[in-house]
Amino acid sequence: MSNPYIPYSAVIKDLRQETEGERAIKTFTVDFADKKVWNEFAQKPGQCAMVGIPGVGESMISICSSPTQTGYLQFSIMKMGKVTTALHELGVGSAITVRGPYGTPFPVDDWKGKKILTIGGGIGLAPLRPIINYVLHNNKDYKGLDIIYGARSPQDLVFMEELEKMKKDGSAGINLTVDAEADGWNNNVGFVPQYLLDLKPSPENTIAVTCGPPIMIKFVLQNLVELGFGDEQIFTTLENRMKCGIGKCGKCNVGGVYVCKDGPVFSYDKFKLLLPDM
Amino acid sequence: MDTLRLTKDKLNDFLKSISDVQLMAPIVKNGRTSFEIIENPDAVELNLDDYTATIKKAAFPQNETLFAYCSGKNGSEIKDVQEMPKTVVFGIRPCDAKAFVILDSLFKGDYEDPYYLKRREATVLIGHSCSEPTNRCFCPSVGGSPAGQEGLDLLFTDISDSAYAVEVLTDQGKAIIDSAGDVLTKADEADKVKCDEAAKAALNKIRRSVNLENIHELLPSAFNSDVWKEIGNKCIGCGICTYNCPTCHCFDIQDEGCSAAGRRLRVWDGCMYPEFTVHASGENPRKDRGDRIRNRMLHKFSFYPQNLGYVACVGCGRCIELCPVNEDLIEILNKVREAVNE
Repeated sequence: MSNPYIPYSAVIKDLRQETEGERAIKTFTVDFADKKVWNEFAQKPGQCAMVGIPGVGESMISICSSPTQTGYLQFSIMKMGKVTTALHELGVGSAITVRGPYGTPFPVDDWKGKKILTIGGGIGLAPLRPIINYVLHNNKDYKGLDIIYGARSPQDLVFMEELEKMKKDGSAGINLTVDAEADGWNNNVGFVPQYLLDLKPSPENTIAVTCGPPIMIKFVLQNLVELGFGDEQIFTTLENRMKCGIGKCGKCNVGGVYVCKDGPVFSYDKFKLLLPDM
Repeated sequence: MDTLRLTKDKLNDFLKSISDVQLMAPIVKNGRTSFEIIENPDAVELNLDDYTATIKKAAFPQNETLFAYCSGKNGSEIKDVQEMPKTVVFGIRPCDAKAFVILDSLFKGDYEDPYYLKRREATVLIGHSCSEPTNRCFCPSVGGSPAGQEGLDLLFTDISDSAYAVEVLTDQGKAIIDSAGDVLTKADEADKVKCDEAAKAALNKIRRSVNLENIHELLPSAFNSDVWKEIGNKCIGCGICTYNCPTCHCFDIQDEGCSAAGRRLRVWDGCMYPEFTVHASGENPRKDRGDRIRNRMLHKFSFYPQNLGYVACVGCGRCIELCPVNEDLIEILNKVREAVNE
């Protein structure tokens, strides 16, 4: 019997400061201490992993790199609680632990031949990034990629370098918004759900995927339905407090499922059954 | 399988024959009965009404080391520490044995939990059927019985002031009987009749029942009912219902030590605490006590049966007995049913 509670040893290979401030966000690039782990660790877009520091604890974090990016994993982590604050204090070369991958992935292969629309808010872009990178890498299989992304202020937007590059080379449609006017901001001003309505993306042959703060997800889902998207065209990914990651400890239980193993990815028809408890 | 007879004056001899394994049995500790690892069978107190202490710790201890770690050259070196001692639990109630069967389905699940499952494999359960069910018991409503056999290896039943009938239920149970030698004798027909009569008499003493008809659909349909607020208003969130529930399995994982060396522990947790579900951001999907009681009821009577095939309640009534503000699981479910039918 293998022991799912025992994590792999891993090393921080690179750190990128995405946002500053009290709730700063850093992207951690991580490799396993033992390269043989890659033979068994095969993540799919949308899956998560328990990232930990022995002596501090573990947090469930979505893997924000795509499986097409091989030899490393990336996690974009907001400095928020005990574990994430301790992670933010580490430097390149520091040892951490990783266990997983956990949860259901986005069915990206079922989406071949379709247009992909991602709608993200704040750090909620991180779980969508593996889809973005996967679709860009396999762009011949998809009919295009549009990204709607917003945050409180321009300083709170993550992966900006990558988004600007996509905008420049035309590999994806980039639509940015912030909650309030800011100096030097030439893009949209307003909340993500309203911006989505303003942009009026066509539901035709399109899959829409959203992640962000719970309140944003709630209104984005409503607005997608209003725009004519069918339940089977809409996906989201959730986050709950988790400890075990394997459907035992009970913390992420919501509406008959464990988010860690039955989620975090849900199609809208499944998500609707959980809605009251969110 | 066989039924044997053990005279009560030979109980000590029987327990002493269980050697080379640790023996857990009910003893009186600080004025209450609790299951403890015992060295001396003289301390065993079998005929006590006070069975409030749960025995789930035999496979799912309240605190358990998952592993020890120390920092090494390649990051943390993790030492797996899971030697599970062979254990015989003596005097367990049938409801508590059934609870293990219910928990087995969860700890097997999509990922096998090696700590629980290895302990279960190493544990033999010797039951004692209830001759005097308490006024809170309702095991027949959830498919149990005071002489239920599910999960047990041997079952002791009082057939007179001086003797037990001992039913052999599994090969593991038989091995214990074999090693006890001639301490036990073969039960005669009269003993077997008395054993059946005792079971029936006990069943007739059960006073409470709960209506579970269609409960797995009824509870979700009452999700937005105001009844949960009313129920939650009384609750003080102490969590004793979860800690003493034989089927509650929720836990937390905590680290003890520093980055250089320490251990990772699993500790019981309870869904009645607001911290149980609170996100690092402060967002809490179950803010109110009513929300948390609702989830507990849904989990036991709707989610668990749908996902794992068992109602996660054995009708022991400990949550009713121990609640300091007299929340009553049966009344809660009845109130919800009334609210839906209104």
